[in-house]
Order: sequence, then structure tokens, then C-alpha cells
Amino acid sequence: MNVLDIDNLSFAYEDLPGGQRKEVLRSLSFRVEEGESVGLIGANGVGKSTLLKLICGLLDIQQGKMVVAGLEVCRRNLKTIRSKVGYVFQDSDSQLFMSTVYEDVAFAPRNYGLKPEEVDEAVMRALSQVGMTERKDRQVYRLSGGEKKLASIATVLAMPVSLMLMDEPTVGLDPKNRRNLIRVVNSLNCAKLVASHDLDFILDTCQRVVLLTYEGTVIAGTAQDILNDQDLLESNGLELPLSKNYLNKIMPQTRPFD
Amino acid sequence: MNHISKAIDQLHAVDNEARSDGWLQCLHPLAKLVVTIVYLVVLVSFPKYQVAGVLLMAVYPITLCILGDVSVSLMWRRIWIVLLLVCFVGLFNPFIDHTPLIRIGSFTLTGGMVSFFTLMIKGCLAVMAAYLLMLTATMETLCHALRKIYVPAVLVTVLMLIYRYLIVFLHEVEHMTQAYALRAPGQRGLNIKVWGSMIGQLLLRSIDRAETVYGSMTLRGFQGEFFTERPQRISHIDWLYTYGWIAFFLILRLL
Repeated sequence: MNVLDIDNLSFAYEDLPGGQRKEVLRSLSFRVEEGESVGLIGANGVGKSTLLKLICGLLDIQQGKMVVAGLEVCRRNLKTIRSKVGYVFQDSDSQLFMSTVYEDVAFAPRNYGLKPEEVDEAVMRALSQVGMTERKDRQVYRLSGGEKKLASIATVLAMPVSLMLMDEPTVGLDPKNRRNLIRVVNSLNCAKLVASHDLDFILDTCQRVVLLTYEGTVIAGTAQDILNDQDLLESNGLELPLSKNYLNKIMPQTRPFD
Repeated sequence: MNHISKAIDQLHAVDNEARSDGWLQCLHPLAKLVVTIVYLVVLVSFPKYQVAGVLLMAVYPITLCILGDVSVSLMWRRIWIVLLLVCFVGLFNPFIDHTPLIRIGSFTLTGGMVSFFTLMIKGCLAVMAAYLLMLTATMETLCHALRKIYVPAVLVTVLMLIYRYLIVFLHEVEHMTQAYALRAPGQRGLNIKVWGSMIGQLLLRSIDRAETVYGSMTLRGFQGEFFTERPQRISHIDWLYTYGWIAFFLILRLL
């Protein structure tokens, strides 16, 4: 079953300075299945974040159709869709707005009317999934960048989501925290759509990759196929993953992802 | 560290203090809120020449400072700026009210002087009481207490949002002033020429940031009302605390 079904989606930013209009997405179609992990890659400005915001209804669909967890994305269904979709923002400081980790993670369960004991259970479960149980009473501003990212994921996991959207999850993380994030993301059972420039992270966490081109269209395939295609990546403002580049240098004859 | 960074740190420090597990912090926020409101009402109700009564009202903040282990000098450093505003309000009293109250030799203590002094003491005590409330109860629990006394949900939500956005706003100001300072070494403050663009940029950035925060809230089911942590049930100690202080204030006022 598909968790996300995008059909012929187009989007343009209007009312830009000077009355300009910038078309970002053109007739885009792809699907994400239940439990699947899909990487969303592309150069700066091709519309990765825009697409994520369209999926959760932060931006209105102008043209095309999108179905999330069996519900068409429109104003009428937004409340239900948002209870099934989690969005991890690029900037954790914008995601975490309550004073303590516990309060922030409890925000969604309380808004969806859970009883205090259910809220507590949901919060503790989400925190234990990301390994932040011991830091539940910490003030958000005292967390490190890696902890903030994990707390952001916990805020989403506090409700049973079918699809998790992640926008540049590895930005600002050191190698250890990045490795920890990979472990956490791989341990999640829900479907994931991960927008990132960190192609090694995509390689470690996603089975499939959707490449957004400069023309606003998509090229979809397995992570191995897309991330091994140097010409395709370079023609779209990307480069081979660092690990692939490194292996090419030391072992030029091998194809590491085969 | 610049002034903005210090201000942010102080805000967080107040929040941190309110979360500690001291005796005062563990009292029910409703008890603390009601006592503070009654204290402020009684304090304001003292006639302008009744200095002695107003001075006795200092017992409440001083007791709280002792019980809560709050440094009075630190509190004074944080609230003195508010007293300047109070000072401006009563500045003209000595020039308007010439009613002679006490004559000591050639010196006449006028009603204006006394009312100015009373106003200053009242302002000082009121700010101290409000500050002590913030030091002993988190914004979340205070908002919960406000809802308990039937303050409309929309007002409580606005209060919560102002508090949250204040921190977001200060962080934006901090980033901008730091970026400026790094490219203007040795300069004190901001050059007048950049004020316009800085304020414009600050406004745009704050709106942008606020929109993202609001987006994050709506994605997690926010529909206009904050559901915050529920404090523990009101205990006998909370009732005793509330009635004890209210009785004390009323005795001072009626004597």
C-alpha cells in the first residue's frame, strides 16, 4: 500500500518581487510505499523543501493531486493528515519551541487530546526510541545540535505517524551524532522521505532515491543506481557520495555499491 | 558576551530557577498566583501617605527571598530598570502636592515627597512580587493557573506565544548584532546608518522564524490553545500558604 501518492504535481511561487513567478515543481509523480525509506535529492532551489511542505499542507497545492495515507491533501483532510505525517525541520531550533524536552515531545499528544497518563507513555516511548529518556527534563536551549535533532525526531514520534518527512537531517551534526542519527532513522518502522544533500546519509538510510532535476521533474530509482550515476548527478548539480569518491580513488576498478 | 546574549541567558536562568525543586517551587502555581494578585491589589490600595503600611508589605517579598534562597542583590540588579519608569511617573509629585505633613526645624516634609516615596516603594515591591512569581513558577504552570481562575483561553495562549516569541526574537537580535560586531571591530553599539536596515531585516527574519515555529506547532495539532503540563493537586499546605498570606495582607491593610 502507498503511504504517499503524488500525481502530476506542479507548484510555482507567485507574487515574488517585481511581480515575478518562479516555477519550482513540474508535473511531478512518484510514490512511497508503507515502511519504505526514500531519499529526496537535488541541487539547491529545485524544490525539495517545497515538496515536503506541500505534503504536510504547509503550502497549498496549486496543480495536481497528492494522497497521503489514503487521504487527499486538501484543507478538509489536513487535521487527519497531520496526525499521520511527521515533519522534522532542517532547523531544530524552529521545531523545538517549548522549554523542556518533555514538554516539547508532549505537545502533539496533548493537542490530540490524549489523557495525561497516555501523554506520559507516548513521550517516554518516543524518547526511548531516540535514546533521549535521560534528557527529558533538560531545557531545550541546553541541548547540543545532535541532541536537538534527536529531540526533534522524538516530537514527531510521539504520535503514531505513517510517514516521516525529514529536511536536511544531518546539517550541523558531527560524525558520531550523524552515525547515531543513521541508527535511529534505520530503526524506525514508518515510511520516510528524507531530503538531503548528504548523499552518504541517503545511501545509509534509503532504499530508493528520487532526484529532483533543474527542470522540476523527477528521476526515481534504487539508491545504488542513482547514486552510482556520476553523469546524472553532476548534470543536476550534485556529486558522487564521498564514500564512493573515496573508494574510486583507492580502488578505481571496483563498483562499491554493486 | 553582548547584552542580548546576557538577556537571553537571564531569561533561561529564570526559567531554570522556576523548574528547580525548592520548597516554594513545589507549591501549587494557583496558590502563588492568587497570593501575588491579592498582594498587588492590597499594595496598590494603600493611601498615598501611608508609608508605614507599604513598608510592612515588604515582609512578603523578603520572606519569599529567604524561603526561596533568592539573592536580593541579584534580583535588584535585574529589576532596577523598571523602577526608573516608576520614578518618572511620580517625579512631579513633590512639585504638585505641597501639603505640609511634618516639620523638622526649617525642613518641611510635604505630601508630594511622601507620595513620591510611597509610589517608589509600591513600584519596587510590585516588581519584586511579580519577579518572585516568575522565579518560582514556570510559564506553563502559570498559564494553567490562569485558566483555573477563568482567564480566557485566547489571552493565555497569547501570553504563552509572546513568551515563546520573545525568546525567538531575542535570538534573532543576538545573531544579527553578533554578525555586525564581528564586521565592525572596535565599534561601540550600532552605527546610526545601519539602524534602518537592521530593524527591517530583523522584522523580516522574525516573521520568517515565527512562521516556521507556527508551522511546527500546527503540524503537531495546535489549534489555538496551549495544553500545558498539569501541576499536582492543591494540597493543605497550598491552602495554608494562600490563606495565611491573604490574612496577613488584609490585617496590614486594615490596621
